[in-house]
Amino acid sequence: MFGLKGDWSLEVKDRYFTLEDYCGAEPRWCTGCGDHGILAAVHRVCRDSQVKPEKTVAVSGIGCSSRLPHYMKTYGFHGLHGRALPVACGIKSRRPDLDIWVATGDGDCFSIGAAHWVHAMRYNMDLTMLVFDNGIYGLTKKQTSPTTPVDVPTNTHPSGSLLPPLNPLTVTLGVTNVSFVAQIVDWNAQIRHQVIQMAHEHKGTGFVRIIQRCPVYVEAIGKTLQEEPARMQLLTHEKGVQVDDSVKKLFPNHAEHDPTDLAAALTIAADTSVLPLGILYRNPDAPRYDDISAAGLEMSAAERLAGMNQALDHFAI
Amino acid sequence: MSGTHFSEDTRYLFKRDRTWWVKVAVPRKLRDKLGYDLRRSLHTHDLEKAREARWEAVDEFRDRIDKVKAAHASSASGAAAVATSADDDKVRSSSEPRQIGEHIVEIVSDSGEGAQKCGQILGLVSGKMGNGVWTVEIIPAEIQPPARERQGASGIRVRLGSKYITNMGDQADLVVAFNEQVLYSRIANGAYKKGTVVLLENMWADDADEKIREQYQAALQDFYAQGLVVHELPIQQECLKLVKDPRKGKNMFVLGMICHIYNRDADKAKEEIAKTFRKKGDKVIGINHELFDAGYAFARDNIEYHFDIPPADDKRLEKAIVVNGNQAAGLGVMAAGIELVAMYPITPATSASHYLAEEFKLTGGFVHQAEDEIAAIGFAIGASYAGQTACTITSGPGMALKTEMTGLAVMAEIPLVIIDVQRGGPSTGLPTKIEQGDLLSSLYGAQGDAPKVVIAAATIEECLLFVSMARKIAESFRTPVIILTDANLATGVQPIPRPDVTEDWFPPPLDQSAWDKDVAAYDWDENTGLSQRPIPGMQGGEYILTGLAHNRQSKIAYDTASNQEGMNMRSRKLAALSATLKPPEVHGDPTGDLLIVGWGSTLGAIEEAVDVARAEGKSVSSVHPRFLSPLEPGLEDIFRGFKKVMTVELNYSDDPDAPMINKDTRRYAQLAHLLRAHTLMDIDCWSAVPGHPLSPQRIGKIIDAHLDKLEGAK
Amino acid sequence: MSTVTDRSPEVGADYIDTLRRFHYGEPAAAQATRRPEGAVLPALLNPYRDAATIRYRYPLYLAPYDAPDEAPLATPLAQHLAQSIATFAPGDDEARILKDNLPWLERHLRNALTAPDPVAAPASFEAAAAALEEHLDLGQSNRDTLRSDLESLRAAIAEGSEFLGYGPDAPLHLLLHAIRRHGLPRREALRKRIADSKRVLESLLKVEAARSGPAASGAAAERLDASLLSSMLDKRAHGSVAMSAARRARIEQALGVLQAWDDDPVLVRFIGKVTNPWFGREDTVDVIDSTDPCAAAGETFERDALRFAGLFAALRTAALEKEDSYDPAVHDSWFAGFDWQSFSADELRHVTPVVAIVSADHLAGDGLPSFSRLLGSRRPVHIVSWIRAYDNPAVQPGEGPFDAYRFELAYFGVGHRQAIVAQTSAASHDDMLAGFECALDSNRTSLHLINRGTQTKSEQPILDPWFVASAAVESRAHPLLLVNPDAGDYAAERVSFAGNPQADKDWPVESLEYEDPDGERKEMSLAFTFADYALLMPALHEHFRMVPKGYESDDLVPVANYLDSDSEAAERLVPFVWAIDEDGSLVRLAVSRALIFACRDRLNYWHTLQELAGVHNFYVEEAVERVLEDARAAAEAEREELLKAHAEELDSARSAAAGEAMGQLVDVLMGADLSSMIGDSAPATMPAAETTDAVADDEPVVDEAEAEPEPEPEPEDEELSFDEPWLDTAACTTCDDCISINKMMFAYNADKQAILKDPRAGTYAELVEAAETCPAKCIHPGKPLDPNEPGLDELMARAAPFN
Repeated sequence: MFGLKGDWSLEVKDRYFTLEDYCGAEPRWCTGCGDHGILAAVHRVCRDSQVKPEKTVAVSGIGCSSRLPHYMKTYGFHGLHGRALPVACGIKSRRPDLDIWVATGDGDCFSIGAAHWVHAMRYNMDLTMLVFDNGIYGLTKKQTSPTTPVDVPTNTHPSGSLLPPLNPLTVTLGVTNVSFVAQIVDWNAQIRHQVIQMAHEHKGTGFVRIIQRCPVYVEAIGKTLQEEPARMQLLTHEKGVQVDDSVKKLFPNHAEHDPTDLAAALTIAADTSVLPLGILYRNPDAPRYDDISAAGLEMSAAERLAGMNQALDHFAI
Repeated sequence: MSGTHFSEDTRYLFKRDRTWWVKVAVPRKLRDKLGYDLRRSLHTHDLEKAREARWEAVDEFRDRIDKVKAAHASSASGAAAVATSADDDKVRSSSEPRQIGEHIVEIVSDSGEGAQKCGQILGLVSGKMGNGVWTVEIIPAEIQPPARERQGASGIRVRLGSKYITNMGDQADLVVAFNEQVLYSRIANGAYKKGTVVLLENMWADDADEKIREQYQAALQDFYAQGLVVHELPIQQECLKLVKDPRKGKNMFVLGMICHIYNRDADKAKEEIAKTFRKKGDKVIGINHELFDAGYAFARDNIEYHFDIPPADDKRLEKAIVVNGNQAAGLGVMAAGIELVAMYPITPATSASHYLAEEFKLTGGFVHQAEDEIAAIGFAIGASYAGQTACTITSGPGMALKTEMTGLAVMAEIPLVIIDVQRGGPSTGLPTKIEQGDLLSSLYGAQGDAPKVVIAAATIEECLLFVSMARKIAESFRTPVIILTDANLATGVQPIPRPDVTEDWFPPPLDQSAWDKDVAAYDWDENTGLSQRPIPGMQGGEYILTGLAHNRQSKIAYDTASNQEGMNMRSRKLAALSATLKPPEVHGDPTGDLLIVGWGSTLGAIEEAVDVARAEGKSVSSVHPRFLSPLEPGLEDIFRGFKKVMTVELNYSDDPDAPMINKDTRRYAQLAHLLRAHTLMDIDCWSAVPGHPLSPQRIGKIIDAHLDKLEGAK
Repeated sequence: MSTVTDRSPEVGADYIDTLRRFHYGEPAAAQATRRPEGAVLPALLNPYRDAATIRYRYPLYLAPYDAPDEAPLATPLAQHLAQSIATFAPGDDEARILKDNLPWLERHLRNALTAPDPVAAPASFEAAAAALEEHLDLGQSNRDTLRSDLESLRAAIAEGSEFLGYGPDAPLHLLLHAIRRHGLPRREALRKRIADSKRVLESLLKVEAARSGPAASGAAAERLDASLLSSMLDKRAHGSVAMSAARRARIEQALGVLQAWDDDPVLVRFIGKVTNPWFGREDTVDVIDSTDPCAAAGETFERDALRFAGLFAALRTAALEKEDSYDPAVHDSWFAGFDWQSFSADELRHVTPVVAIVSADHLAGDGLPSFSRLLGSRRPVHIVSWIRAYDNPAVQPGEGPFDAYRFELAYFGVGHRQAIVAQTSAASHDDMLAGFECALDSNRTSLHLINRGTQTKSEQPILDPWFVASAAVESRAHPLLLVNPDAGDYAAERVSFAGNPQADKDWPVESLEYEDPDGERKEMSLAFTFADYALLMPALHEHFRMVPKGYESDDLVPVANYLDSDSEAAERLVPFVWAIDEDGSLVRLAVSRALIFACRDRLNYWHTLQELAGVHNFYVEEAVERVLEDARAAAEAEREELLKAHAEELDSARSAAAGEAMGQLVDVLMGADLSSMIGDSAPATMPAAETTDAVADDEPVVDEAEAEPEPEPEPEDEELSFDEPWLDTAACTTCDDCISINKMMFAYNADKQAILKDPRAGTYAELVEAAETCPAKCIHPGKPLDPNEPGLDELMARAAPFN
């Protein structure tokens, strides 16, 4: 009806983005590496949400996973080993308008960056955080990572890693103010896309641990899981992942889990006999640090100057 | 300013606010008696009237000076001087106060007795009265050291004078001590001299504990032996008349005493007291006012010392703010229009963040306390990469942790302001004490060749001003900038000129214009290495920042040519900056026998020492570069003008006379090291790590020693 | 309690003829019969003779404009006080004194409201409270309790709230109140939007200025050679693109408009006759006198809208420039022709409301053309008109109110279809406010036809005006009606009939108690007709004649029955209304035929409205029946669907059993939404059978699978068979594995998921290798296309698990 279309003139120049608008350099990951698929999912989620490439920043640390920014045609920050999160949080703190992706790995996040991981979870800034967990240091050629299974020999522990692997899910779920925790495998397109999309839409830090195949150094890890789907448990719920029968068939072992139930999520995460897939926990109402840290951004120079003189007055004699 | 037209005759006249004063200079030899000059207000705003009135005062001052000259003819020793002065004080006690040029006052106690609050108020009041002031706290290493502990001295030194004061000065003239033990550590620090007047709490003389009584008597003997003029006062006893527990409140009684001794404006003091306790309510304020009045009266009736320190005639004090170096740095951050400060608690830097946490919102900024030093600089780098220039504040140990990130900022050319409030090192070192030990680590403490800008604030005022300069340089040159200050500036409190901040101090709003696709992310200008940076949100500017070797497009590039070019360009920026710098000014004659080169917080002490030496006719000058990377231009030419050039620094260097030390093995002080490499000249150095600031006197001795060597060499 | 006095009539049995002749309008008969004398009231209204003793909806408590949204605009004082007390003294024995004297307080407040205009509530409450204390003159302790209770009650009277008594201007006051409540928050929002947009534009200009700004300021200027630095910075390449001159001009122009904008305090313009000077004094009201208010209102709106068009264009430009998405090719022309017709709904609501205040006679008379034009004009202008319920607005000089069929302004408005039409009564304030708010929320022309009861001296109200107005609603003289075209395109969605008493009846029927001559209590139910209402108007008393007390005749029938009776019966009958005279005895009044015509006319209009509102609507009733039918049919169909689906389930399950290969495909198919193809699995059972043969010959599965009846294959599915290699794209994880094996054979689609581009572009070996490496197991090699390829047996064995 008349009048209501009045706003159209704001939209006319809005651009439409295809996958190409987000695809950067040709990926240099090994053949059969799970990262290819994760990258594709990121491209698709960007395309589906039509975020402006210039308003998107992909932040990473060091490692195979952290090459992701180079394969994006957005802004990117490929920084230091273990330090993706502080940088990402810093960007978001004074640029709430930017859409931030964090790409990190089991070594980058769970080992050298562990302190930042815990605190970033607590800050709960609006980021999408993908942890590429292949259970090995790939870029530096096969050293034990915090999530390497005990029986897997590596160049630093030729007779297999000495201690049972770290459980990132219980750690993450244990952090106060955590707001989104999910786990997926790189080789199921439907779950992968759905979960990453939800993590991206989530207002807060969307933590997704992605079990990712490294066919070069630890082929066994991925293979066993693929060949024995019973080792995994698919968590479905109206507030979580919803898949069609074909996927359910691929994961004979599936259960209903309400992602708002933290206690249940912890129990599931703590049971290492099966690998849970899907959304373990989700709380859209958790306070976000970026809401606080952005205070004052709108101030005009005149207002700042007035404030400055006020501050000086407090010391005047 | 009306009234100061050069055409008009204003001999002997000067103006404070709008009132005319008369002033007659005192000959140097008599200054310890009469002060730098004699002055008095003519109580008129009218120049004509002032011209009339001045002559009477001038005559009076002149014959006062002649009298003292006569008396001084039989020149007495310093100690005697104090004694005699004490005598004729008795004569005109509570009548005319004796005019002096400056004094250094210390109040020492066990920690928690409020000596510092007492001194701060004294400093503020004196600032308000137009005096030059320098206040520095005496801080014990522990937070709660046991009572009457020699190392537990907690207190404050206040230096007030009729001129602008730039450092904490030499030995104290008057000390108020709450117990005798705490004096020992001060004596050990050489804080006192023969004739230093000590006003000592006497309650310990008849303490229940015999051991304490003995300690007390023993100490008295030590002090007399030291030549200290000790007066035992019943401070506790007097306070008990007003309050049950004088441990709280004794400090205000002492403040009252000191305010009478130095003829301070009691009303102004009471205002400050009220301000200090305003949160605690009128009752508390009332009690403290009573204690103050009691102390004031007590001094009037029982203490013969009664001085007057006229206001300084110095522009810098006309429109001043009273701050310490960390508050100044905080104000600097705000004045620079910085968006974000990311920090992690560390002594002695943290108080800057404390201040910002209170006030930063006034200019729309935010303080982020990160999970660690690395996260702090990472957070700041993130904000800065996104176009909002940020700052991180830390001290030596934090700097060490931040080096990898600093290297990234250099490599990826991310603007960033890093403030390093230096403390004693290495390792955890001396957390609360001063040292200038981070110069070389700031320059070189990063992986590979990481050229960056390093500047050192030499005054509390510069702590404020340099932050906005640093921000400007960081953005123009797309580089991190390190500002070095130190514990001396951080804890020193003085009135400094209030900066006239204008909107153009702040950065312009975030540039989100479209980016020209033909301009690469690092489109280095061959001559300057400068390039403009795309900021996220700029359409067409998308690039992937990386800490790896990269080409102009910011694409990872390990090839020789790209790596060489990147290195060249990053280094060239320093040369470009250097080209825009003005050569440093020499303090004193541009040529002569000895040139002292200093940096950072030693400026005040060095120049005061140089002035004294020059006044005694010695040929010495000093120079004090603020930019240490790149170095300011023209240093070599300046050095050539002197027979000997040496640095004076508060960091470690081998004493040439120490065992095993010869020209092959000697390690030089950090600036000396730098200048020798930079100029290929044989630049000497004197440096030490006492943990406390250098005094002008100490520097004076060094100057004399080296001048003597030069003489000897002839 | 009224009585029927038993008195033998002073007239003869044939008196009915005289009455009948009066009824038919014979002047002589009119002379010979008695008009009603003194304060005769319709029987049902007798209890309301003395308004002072009765609590009714006014005075109103008007909540301050900044009260929370859920707070009603206006609440009857009595209700507000009662509710407030309940909050702090819920128990019966709490605040007893206050509760017991609440009526006193109310009446005091009501009587204090002498002026027709609102008064500050807090002050007048405090006055009343003081008066109450004085009036009760209690002992100390009671006085204290009362005082504290009064204080708690005082707390419920918000600052800025007002009391409004019932008076001629109550509707305008309430309209203004509603406009304030809606307008002030809106204006705040607009202010903020303007401020934000200013900041945006200023920053853009500052960014430009900075390009050529000083390289060093403050402390930096002292130590750096600013001009040298500037030249260095200028020499480097500039990626950030400078503003075009055109864009800068655009931004400066928009900024100029925003900076120049000053919102005047006026919240509404009243156009027409506003006699009450109170409105002239209000700075939020702009009163404009006009002889043709409808036309003037239209022009005034256009003028205001033009002003706002400039503002909104600037605001929109700011929004576009912020995103740097202003495209001259599109927007220049758009803004060139930018007028209120292109405003967004929200923007339109910001334009200062214009209210035309017009007499009904003018609307139905000289003002008719501009009235009609305005109703069709789309302009969101409001028209308020005062309706005399007994009268005909189109009456010509010299005519009586019943000499012509009544011109129904509401229906005229409804006829324009797109306007909001609210026929309301000042007596029921909430329906009236509903009409106002509906209009203020919408962007349509709105027409408010308001009856205020008798307000002018000449009409000599017998009853308090509020009761007269209520009677108008009661008697269908002034039915309540709200038509809101925003609600939908059908009458059912648009029309609200709320507030009409017993809306499904022709007339509301109430029961009347009285005493018969023997002092026995009796009850009779009476309809309250238009005739009863007419009796309230002394001007119309000529249409009534007293039926002598005690006179009886079968031909005398109450008006309601008369209107029901068939026409030839009606010829003999004489209609009357029950009334009660000053000394409280029941009397009957015969009614003129003219008035009866009016009654029929009103009743007919009432039926029309009932139909609009869906009361007794035959179409609706028919429709209901039809719907029920359809529902039954639908249920049946669904049941069959389910049965069919169930059968298919069984089919697929059975064929699933037909061996491993089959199973693979079924999984896939159930995933991909291709269930229609299940039938085609038949030919595919062959290889499956082979593989199963190997296991056991007498496996019955095969036969059973074959035994299944197969539906006809659909043509587009003929391609698909197990022999064909194929790739389940939906399951592809974009791992690049197959692509890296053979770029010609495999490729990505628009979603970057793999498709089998050309199976002939490579060897069967490659196809099998791809199937084996594929992490999603979504490649199915099928049978080799080239039978001569070496090592096929081994390859097919490897391929089997993936088919």
